[in-house]
Amino acid sequence: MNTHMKYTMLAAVAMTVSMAVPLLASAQTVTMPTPDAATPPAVSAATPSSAPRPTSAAVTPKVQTAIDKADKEIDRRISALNDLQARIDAMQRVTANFKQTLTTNISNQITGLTQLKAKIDTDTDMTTLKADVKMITDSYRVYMLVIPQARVAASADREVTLVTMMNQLGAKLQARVSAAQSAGADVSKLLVALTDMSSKLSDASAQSQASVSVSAGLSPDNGDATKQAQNAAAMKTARADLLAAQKDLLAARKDADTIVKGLKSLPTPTVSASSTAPSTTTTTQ
Amino acid sequence: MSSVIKWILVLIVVAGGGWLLWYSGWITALTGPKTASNTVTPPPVATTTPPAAPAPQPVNMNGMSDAKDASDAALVQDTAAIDTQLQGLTTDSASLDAAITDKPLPQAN
Repeated sequence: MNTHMKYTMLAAVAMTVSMAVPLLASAQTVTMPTPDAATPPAVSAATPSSAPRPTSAAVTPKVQTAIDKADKEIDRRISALNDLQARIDAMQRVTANFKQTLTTNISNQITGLTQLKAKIDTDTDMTTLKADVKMITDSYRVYMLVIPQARVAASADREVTLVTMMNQLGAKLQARVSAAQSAGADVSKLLVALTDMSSKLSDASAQSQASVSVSAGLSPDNGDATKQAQNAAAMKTARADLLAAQKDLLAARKDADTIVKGLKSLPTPTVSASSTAPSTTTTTQ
Repeated sequence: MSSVIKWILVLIVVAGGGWLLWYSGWITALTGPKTASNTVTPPPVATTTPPAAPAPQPVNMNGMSDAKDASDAALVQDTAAIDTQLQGLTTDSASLDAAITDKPLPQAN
């Protein structure tokens, strides 16, 4: 096993350990791994400073084309990692430790890719360049797991956030409906909508948690076709869970809209002349 | 008339004179407590002290209104905040799809 492969596998194992932790704040019982365990593929060859880039005339067009392609792929990944980092920063329902772990892992990945790019840019012969480009390919298996896993976590984080917000709104709507009911209004349809909203939010929460559970423990396949298929299937399941949760949330939002509109349409209670009941305060708008 | 009686008369005269002076306001003006009518109230001094800071408001998540506020305005605010997050979820979903279907750029052989 060559050095590049060792580094790649080390990074893969580190990433797996770092991702196999509870993502949501409601499940923080597992000890967090040390963030610095996630080491990106290291650049083992000479650093760019010790091997300054020769003039362009010293690089053949073929080598230059390969360098350009490699740079483009590295830039693409670094850009995606930076975008992911911004999203992680905005996550609200995960623990601070978990966010820091993700941040450290991403930072390490970016550092490794940046160093690799600098190394590639100094390559002058095709043999060395091919070895460096292979590191890009090898590290892709880690990259292709880390990015979707974190994206699943981000989506689940958003959905759990939405569940919390909608539950808060639901409590207010329930108070309003109860007040209207006490005032004598017919709120049967609103109660049905409230019940459905509660049910949808409960299911959304469960689906979000399931998406994290099924994806967080995955490890890079390292070329194992069986493992690759398992990972793909698990990620597909996580995606389906998130979509189901999203569908629930949209349905709950629709229920909330139904209730709000229903409250507005309730007739203002009137007290008949013969009535001896005390006048009531209207809850309609 | 004995000297004692003379002194008593003098004291009565002095006391009576003092009472007259007090009654006419002379003593009050000179030594008595100042009243609002004869004091000069300094103008209010402008201060740089800022007004008292408003009581800290509870931090509401993502633009939600106060949890205890079920008014119409609060419901509108809450639904707007939820809609914003739902839009964010759509973006998250698109990002996840892109991540799952990502393909590396082909490299030179």
